[in-house]
Amino acid sequence: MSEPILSLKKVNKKIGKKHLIKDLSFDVYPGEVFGFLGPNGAGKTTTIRMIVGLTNITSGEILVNGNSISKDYKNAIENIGAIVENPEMYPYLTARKNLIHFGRMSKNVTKEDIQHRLELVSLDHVKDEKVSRFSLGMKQRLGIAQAMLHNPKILILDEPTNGLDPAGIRQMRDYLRKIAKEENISILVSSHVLSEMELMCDRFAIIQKGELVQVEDVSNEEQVDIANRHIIEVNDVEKAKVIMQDEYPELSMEAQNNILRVIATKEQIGSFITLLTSKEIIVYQVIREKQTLEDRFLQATNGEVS
Amino acid sequence: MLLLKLIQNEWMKLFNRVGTYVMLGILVLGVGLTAVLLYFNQAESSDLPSEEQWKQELVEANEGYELQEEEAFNYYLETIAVNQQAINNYRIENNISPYEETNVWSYMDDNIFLIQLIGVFVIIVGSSIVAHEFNKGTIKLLLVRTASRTQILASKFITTLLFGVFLLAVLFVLSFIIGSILFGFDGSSVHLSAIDGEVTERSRMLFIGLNYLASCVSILILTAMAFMISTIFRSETLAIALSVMLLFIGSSITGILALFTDWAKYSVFANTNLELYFTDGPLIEGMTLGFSIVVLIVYLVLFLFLSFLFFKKRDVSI
Repeated sequence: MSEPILSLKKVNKKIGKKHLIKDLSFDVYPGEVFGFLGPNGAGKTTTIRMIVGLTNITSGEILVNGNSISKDYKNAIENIGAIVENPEMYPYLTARKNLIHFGRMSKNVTKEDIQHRLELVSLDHVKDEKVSRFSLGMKQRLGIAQAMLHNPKILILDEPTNGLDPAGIRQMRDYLRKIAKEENISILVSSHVLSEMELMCDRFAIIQKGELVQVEDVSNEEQVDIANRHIIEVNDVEKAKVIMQDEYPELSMEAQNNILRVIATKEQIGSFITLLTSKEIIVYQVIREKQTLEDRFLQATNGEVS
Repeated sequence: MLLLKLIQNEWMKLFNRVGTYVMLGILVLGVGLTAVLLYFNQAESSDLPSEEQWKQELVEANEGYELQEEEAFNYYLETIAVNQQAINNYRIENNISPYEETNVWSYMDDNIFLIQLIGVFVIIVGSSIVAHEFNKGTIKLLLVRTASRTQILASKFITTLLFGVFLLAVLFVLSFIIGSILFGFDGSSVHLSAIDGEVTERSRMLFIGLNYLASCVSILILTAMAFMISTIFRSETLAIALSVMLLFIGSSITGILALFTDWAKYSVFANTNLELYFTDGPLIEGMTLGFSIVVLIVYLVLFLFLSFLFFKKRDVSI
């Protein structure tokens, strides 16, 4: 794999006697959407604050495109575009003036760049309205526009879907996937809402109580028994269960409402359907049960979600 | 240059806020109000006391000062008595009446008290320009960019000073325009002041200019103080309340302290009125212009050092 764009190496943060972050290490590579998961209070925001230099690192190192954020702040921060927690823009300025403001703080941001960014986040039609009149979703989009102004290599977003309605969440997700792909930008996105992350991220890290629990790919499905867990929906579940148990006594299964849960291979499922249909049981649907990110998250954190 | 762009940003933010226009409005209103009051209360030349009358008044006043001079237990009261007598004698000798027709210079002289108002506004801006970013959370977006924290804070400090100078310019120009239209240029334009019983005659214009220049200095110090309080405590309200309070009672407290101890001369407020060295003489015996400048620089450096120190080291956790 290529060089990581963001690299955390044994990062620690202590405030007084509190040990907020313990030996946290992970890498984010170019072009990937990296999820940063954890229950509330796990240390996600603290970590992000250290990455963007808002908070000092007690020990360890954070490298952004090879530059240490604590020793070589300027060269490191140049590569970052960020929203930390809420997308706080100046409410008394218009959307365009907000972008002009942040554009002036970076080199080579032209009027055209600002216009382009406004169009990309679909705020072109309200660019001369004050931000105080914007909805949260609009503020969030403007936040992303300001973070992207200077064409950073990595975008860091802290809970970007917080407080958005389902349509807003979907819009945000599509937009992030799009820019990751089209502009080849890496995105580090933190969240405690797991179902969203699953649809958005390539890889993710889970932290709990300031410690890394695991890093894995979203598409990871190594556990066989889970891959073979199926749900069969039928019209008469009691009858179906009796028929199945007569024919396959070694199978473990549970009946519940109109659902039969079995662990079986693809081939076996085929013969089940034939069997049940021949006994005049109607099979509505068969679903292969996937382990969701949420299941893995709960597994990794031992169910300690606050 | 990045710093210039940052100042441009701060200026843009300042002038997109309602409060800034309220302050400007109050200042303009103040200038208008003094003009109206003075216009309807100005003495007609026929109403002015005759030469005999005012000379008589001054002689009587001097007798009072004579008494004060003898009984004064304090340097400050004594100097006032000595200097006032000298000025009154000068008036009698040179036939300069203390009563005069209102003209643009006397109007502008009267408006000098409005500089105090500008002091309050500058404190308000200086206190909120940092604290406001913390309250709204926008400080995070400012800091996660290539500008260093020192540059950010410097741009805010310079902007506040520029705003103070801007308000002074508004006051000066507006007073001049209104004054010259309403009151004209006729009449005496001499300002008398005395140090150690020596009277100096200056043109009013020079005196007014001196006052404005000197107030730039006190605005600089006040801004630095408000700045320090707001960066250390990150509270707009505290910074405004404390600085405005010090602005108003600081010199009184210093004056009271000066009655008892010479140490009062090290108080920042004993030194901010630099124009005293050209007009009425220092607050406390033995103070010189050089001394005041050194004291002010020490305070300025201290205030700014603490502001920058706290701003740079702090973990931003909002």
